[in-house]
Amino acid sequence: MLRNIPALGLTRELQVRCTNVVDAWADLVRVSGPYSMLVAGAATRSVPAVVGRLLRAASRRPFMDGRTVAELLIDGCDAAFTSTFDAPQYTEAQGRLVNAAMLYRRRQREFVEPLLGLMHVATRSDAEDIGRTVNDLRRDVRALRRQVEALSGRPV
Amino acid sequence: MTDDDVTLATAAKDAIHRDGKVTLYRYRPADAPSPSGTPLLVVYSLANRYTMLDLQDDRSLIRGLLGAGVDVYLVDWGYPTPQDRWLDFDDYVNGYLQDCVDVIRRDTGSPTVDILGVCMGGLLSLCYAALHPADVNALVLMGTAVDYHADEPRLNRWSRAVDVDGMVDALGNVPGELLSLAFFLRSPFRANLGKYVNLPDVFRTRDRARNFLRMEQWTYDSPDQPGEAYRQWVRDCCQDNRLVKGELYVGDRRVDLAAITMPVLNIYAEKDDLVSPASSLALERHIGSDDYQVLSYPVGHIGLYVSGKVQADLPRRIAGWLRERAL
Repeated sequence: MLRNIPALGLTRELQVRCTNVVDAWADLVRVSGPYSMLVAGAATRSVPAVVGRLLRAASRRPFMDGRTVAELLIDGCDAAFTSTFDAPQYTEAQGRLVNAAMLYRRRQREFVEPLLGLMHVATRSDAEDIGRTVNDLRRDVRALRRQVEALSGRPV
Repeated sequence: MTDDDVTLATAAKDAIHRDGKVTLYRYRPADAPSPSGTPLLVVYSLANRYTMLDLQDDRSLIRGLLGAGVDVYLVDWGYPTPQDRWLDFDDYVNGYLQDCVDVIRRDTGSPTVDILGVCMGGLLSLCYAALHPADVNALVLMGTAVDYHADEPRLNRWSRAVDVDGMVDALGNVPGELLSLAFFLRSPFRANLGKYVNLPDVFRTRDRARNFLRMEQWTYDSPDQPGEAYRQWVRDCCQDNRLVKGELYVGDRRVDLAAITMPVLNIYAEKDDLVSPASSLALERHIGSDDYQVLSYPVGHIGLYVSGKVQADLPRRIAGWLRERAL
């Protein structure tokens, strides 16, 4: 709570950005828990899935080569994991994890870029601004080229 | 054997147009019949590389089409860099594709082109055909999603929980590796380990080893996705399903599938877990064409392009269908 007390003066904006990074990181840690639990659950369920397949196969053919065992292992693990992946809880947990990770990156950027600016270091936002300008110019050039072609009747 | 022996996309071709990282190729005709009919523009997906279509001599859609006498052009989207982060569907459809079609028309003297759209390239092709129907003589789609919510595949469901605006704002271009990871999670152990179980057999002969390594090379050759195009694809198509609702905009123009009145051949994979057959088949309900055919094979999404059995049949079928509708 203390870190959320607003600062005054020059450091105010910096503190807000720093706090945002910490909050985003804390949120990322928080949502990674349920996601990890689901994946761990799938890993746990893959054990009986593989053992069941091995037992069924062994009842038909007691001696199996390594390749057959590997196939049963892959089959069992995939069955356990894909059933987890198909659950709505997984979709929700994965979405939260991805969204939290992306927010953390954006907050990092908001914190770091002003500091880089103070040192005259070009930032990702600067590069994106240039990219956007280049893209707009590309569109303009294409439109002009087509107009010239239409007027002259010749390819440019 | 060295890595240099593992070559993909070796069918002879010439670059006839370049714009930034985008290249338009014209394939040199095969020995067999000389090319005839309307020129065919192949539009591959923005995800992964077109090299899949010419994986090796005996499993190559491109070589099959050339052998059947089709005049084949292909647009290679290249490898987008941060400079391309702002490219959106408007740039791809009304910019690059329109330019490629213009170049082909000048190159051949043909007033229209045939278009073969592959996977997400099929979406771009649908948009182009709907917005520029007078330019397109016939449209062929392969493994193309149309109704993104029909029998929804796992990746689509996952995408609904993702804040794609936040993702693109954070990442700019979306790394190809991230997409590959999502593709592999469709069946994580089979996709990542299963193929290596048979390695001892694979490396028994040089040819099989080369074929295996070609597939490996293609699998991990994943260009980054231009941020804005990715944002539009996930938000407008995967999440909001705007294509079939008639609410998808490319630039300031609405994509109305009913404007697609040219002949359409819709090819899908019956065991596709990336683009559900129901999603592809929905096309018939939305287009305005009265010349619509469907062709399917009992394979998965990738099998449509690399299965030896499919490639022994598919190019001939496409070429025959196009020939019947040639100008």
